[in-house]
Amino acid sequence: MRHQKLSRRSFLRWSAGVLGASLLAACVGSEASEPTPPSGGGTQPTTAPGGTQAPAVITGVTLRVVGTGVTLIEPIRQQAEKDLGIKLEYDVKDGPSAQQKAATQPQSWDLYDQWFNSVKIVWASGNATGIDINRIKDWDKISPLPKEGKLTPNAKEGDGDAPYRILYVQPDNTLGSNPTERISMLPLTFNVDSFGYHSEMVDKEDATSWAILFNPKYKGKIGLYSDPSTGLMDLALGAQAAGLATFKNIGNMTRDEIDTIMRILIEKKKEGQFRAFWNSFDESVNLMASGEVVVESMWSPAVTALQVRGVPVVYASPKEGYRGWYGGMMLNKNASGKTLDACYEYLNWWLNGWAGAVVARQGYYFSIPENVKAHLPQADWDYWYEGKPAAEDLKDPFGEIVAKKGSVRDGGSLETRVSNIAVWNSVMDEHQYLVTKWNEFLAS
Amino acid sequence: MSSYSLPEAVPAASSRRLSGNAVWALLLSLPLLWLLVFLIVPVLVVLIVSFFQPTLSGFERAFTLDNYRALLSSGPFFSTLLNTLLSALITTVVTFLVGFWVAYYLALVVPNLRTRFALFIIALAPFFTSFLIRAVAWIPMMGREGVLNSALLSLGITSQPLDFLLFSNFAVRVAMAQLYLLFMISPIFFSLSTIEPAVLEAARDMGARWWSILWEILLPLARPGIVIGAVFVFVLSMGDFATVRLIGGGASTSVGLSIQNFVTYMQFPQAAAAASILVLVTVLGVVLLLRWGAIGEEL
Repeated sequence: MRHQKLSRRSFLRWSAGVLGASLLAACVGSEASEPTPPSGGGTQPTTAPGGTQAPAVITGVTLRVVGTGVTLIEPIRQQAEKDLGIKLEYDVKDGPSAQQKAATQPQSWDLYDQWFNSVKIVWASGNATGIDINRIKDWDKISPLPKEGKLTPNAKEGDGDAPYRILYVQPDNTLGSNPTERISMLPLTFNVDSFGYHSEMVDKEDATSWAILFNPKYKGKIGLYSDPSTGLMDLALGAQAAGLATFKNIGNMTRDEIDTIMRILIEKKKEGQFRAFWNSFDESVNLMASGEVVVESMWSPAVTALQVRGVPVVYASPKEGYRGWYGGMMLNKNASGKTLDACYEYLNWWLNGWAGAVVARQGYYFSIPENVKAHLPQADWDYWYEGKPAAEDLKDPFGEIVAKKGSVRDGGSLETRVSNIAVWNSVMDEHQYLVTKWNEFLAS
Repeated sequence: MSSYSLPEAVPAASSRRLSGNAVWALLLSLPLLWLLVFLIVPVLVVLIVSFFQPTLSGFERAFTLDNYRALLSSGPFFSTLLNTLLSALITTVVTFLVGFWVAYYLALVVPNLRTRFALFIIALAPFFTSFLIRAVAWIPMMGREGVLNSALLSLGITSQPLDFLLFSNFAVRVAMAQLYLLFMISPIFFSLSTIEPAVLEAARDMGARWWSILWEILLPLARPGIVIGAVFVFVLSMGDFATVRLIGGGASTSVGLSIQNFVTYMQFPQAAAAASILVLVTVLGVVLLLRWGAIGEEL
């Protein structure tokens, strides 16, 4: 490539020569989009200067993890600190903000705890490095879903960025499915998403298909997620199910296909089909709770949160399949010495299943189910993983009751749900084109 | 910054080692430096980045006009720009129509100076809370199951909740008018306060009606305050994205919101290009406002 590839940060470093270092510091500090001004030095304060021998329990290291509230939760942080003897700083953001920080402020994090649909972007920023699977003790125990694409032989693989397609670092430093010893992101938590619906306002029959998003019966009562790499998937599945459009590969559309779906979406938006777009988990809960929408693309814990509040919301199991996502952690390329050792300790700790058991009680699955089973009471395991009726009232990690005795998880067992993935959250080849068009859709 | 430098400047002046001009130069250098660092340099950086080639996670330092070409050839971007402009104009007019009378009452009707300022502070009270909280507060007010809709339904005025009250251009404009009202009231209040009561008395003695006093004395004399207020409100509402996102809920739009989306998806050059266009249009609007204000003074 002729032109040097630049992140915003390296651009600023470049401009420092022109503008003077003091001006630079000032203008970085004045940017409103940047939530925390980075330290000026650019060195990692937590990195020990010499590469000393790694002790069994690592002390005096602070790991900075940037990510989302899905997995960066207090009980996990406390337990990891206790078990590992390190200090953990969780920087909790929404998905896009976490991704932005990972891609533009490499000095501010050691591990990036997010989702596979941001792997391509963070990898392209050059701030991450491959994780050596030889240092991951339980690597062989990780289920075939993220490594090979399927949990069971006759499951659907799903279009788009299935984790295994962008898991392995290839010799030319690109990402692919050909197994190597270095991986882009360690696969940890995952789930399959659909939409929630208000069971008193919506016909059960209508809720069996993504087509409901375009059903005129619910005009003006549809809520959507405003992120293109997930929100568009839902809408594309809906448009296809409603017979408005067809896609060769719904997870990697061509420009023509993007134009087609955007034309349909803008037309429907102008007709008033969609009520609101949410950006944060809380917003999605509030939209449904306040009656603004009756059908909404949402995450599983949002449905649980509404059920706890007494709103009769059901998480749909659409016949076209779910939209899958996989979470995990990426490693900063600047991590070295004790910090690097601590990163691997933390990754290995995550795989032992204790944290997986915590997030299981929020409805998320884990890449090594057997390790979770060891840390999860039988009743919780049966409800969340096996799809069996709850033997007793079940609580979430924070002590709130999330499942009443006798209730059954929407969609059934792990195997049933994960075997029906239509598409994964994805960054398409035409991502930049899509972003421009998506912005027009939001603005229309 | 200035609080650190002032104590040095003051003794220097009193010791008469520096001439008056040097003191002024020193004092003025601070705001100039401030403007340079926090206004001119960032604007230049934005302008430079707007000509760079975007990539998946940043940009390449390669000159291109594509960012502008894409925006200017995009119908939705133009309608966004027009909608932003329209919202800003409506907000400015509404805040003027409401704000002028509030300022009029405070400055000319309330007789006692102490009461006047007490009322002025009370008028400001809502603005002691954060901007976002004031914006969010409109949601339970105007929502489908909100206060306003419940009242309308129970009074039998409507049989269905009115959807346009929230997540619409209407809702955004109402919220913006409330949020920015302060910036219209204050300058008008101060310019009305400077009017000599004797002038009004003289006009009344000469037989001028209330209407002609308003039209021939108050409005012309308040014009600087009105223009300043209008500039504040116009500029603020042109750049608004938080209100549009929260109260618009996706059904309303602004250039500011487009910029924020571009930044979220890490397409910084497009964000910079949209920002440059927005700044240009806003500056044009301000120039027109100021020119109108100046013509007023000549009359």
